[in-house]
Amino acid sequence: MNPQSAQEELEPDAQALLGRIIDGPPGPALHEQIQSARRLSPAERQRLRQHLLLDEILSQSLAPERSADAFLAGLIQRHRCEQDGEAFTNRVMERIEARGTARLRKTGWFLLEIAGLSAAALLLLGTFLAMGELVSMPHLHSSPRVSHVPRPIDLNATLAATTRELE
Amino acid sequence: MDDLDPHGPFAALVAEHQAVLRTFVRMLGVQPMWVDDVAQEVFLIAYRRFQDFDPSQGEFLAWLRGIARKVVANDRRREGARARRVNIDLAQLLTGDLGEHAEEVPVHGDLHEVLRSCLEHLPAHSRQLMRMRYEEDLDAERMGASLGRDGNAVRQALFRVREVLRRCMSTKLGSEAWS
Repeated sequence: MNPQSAQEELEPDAQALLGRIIDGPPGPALHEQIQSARRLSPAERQRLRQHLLLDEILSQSLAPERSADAFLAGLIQRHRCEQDGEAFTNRVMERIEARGTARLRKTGWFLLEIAGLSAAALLLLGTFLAMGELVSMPHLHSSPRVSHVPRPIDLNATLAATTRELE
Repeated sequence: MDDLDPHGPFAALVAEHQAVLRTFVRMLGVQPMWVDDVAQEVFLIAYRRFQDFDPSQGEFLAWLRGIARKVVANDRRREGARARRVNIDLAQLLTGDLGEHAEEVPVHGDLHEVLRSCLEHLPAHSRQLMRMRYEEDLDAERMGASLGRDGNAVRQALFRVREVLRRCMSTKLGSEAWS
């Protein structure tokens, strides 16, 4: 297992691409590098696949957060969250529906109350007006103020009377 | 849908197949940081549809792979956050000539044990590089900054170490299982 001899088997460009894909960091140049990688030989592509695979297994083996136990624990937690999410959604929907029904009932009662009050107010107003009319009519005819209103002067009669006095 | 029992039969299936499935998902071009997320999604779909699984039609792992292909294909068609889970360039590269090879991810249960054995035979400085890269999750540039070396030099060093490991695993597992 000589590292130097293993390195010699791959072209520098292909090796650089492998390093960039696996060890990062991903930069804008990576897109062009991968595009040009389509000209890789089948053997070089095979090597790329093996290194990706090895990288994944190394990560699963060495990174604590990627262990089998951590993966299973994460899966169970995620499943619980999804279940809780569904239950929460159902509870909220039920509440929204219940509130909607209650609001509809409240609105119905409110409209009925308004209609009733309006009818009562109209009735009262009508009654009041009718009463006012009845009360005010005889009062107007017998009003003393009306009798005190000065009558227009009859100039012809006054002139005739004055003429008679002078004669 | 009832609780996923950590000690139940489905959890046992997860424990048995998670490593291979995650490797398969990575080989479909999924970004490393999203591999576990996609693999968990695949297992959750499998759990919800477990009554649809027919052992007479094929193995459980093959069924999981079929679900994974659909999930990744959906991600590639979408835009936004889910599309970012897949490296489209790499996925196209891998699903070109290498697409059919994605099915050939080794299914050895002792793959990790073999790897650990190979790691033990590495020189101390190579093991240190592997620890920094995977345990501490540092990329080549950050490793270079820490070691006082150029990022390209670190990438070359990591490549050489992985080549040693690749050859070690080929020897232990047999070239047909690893090539």
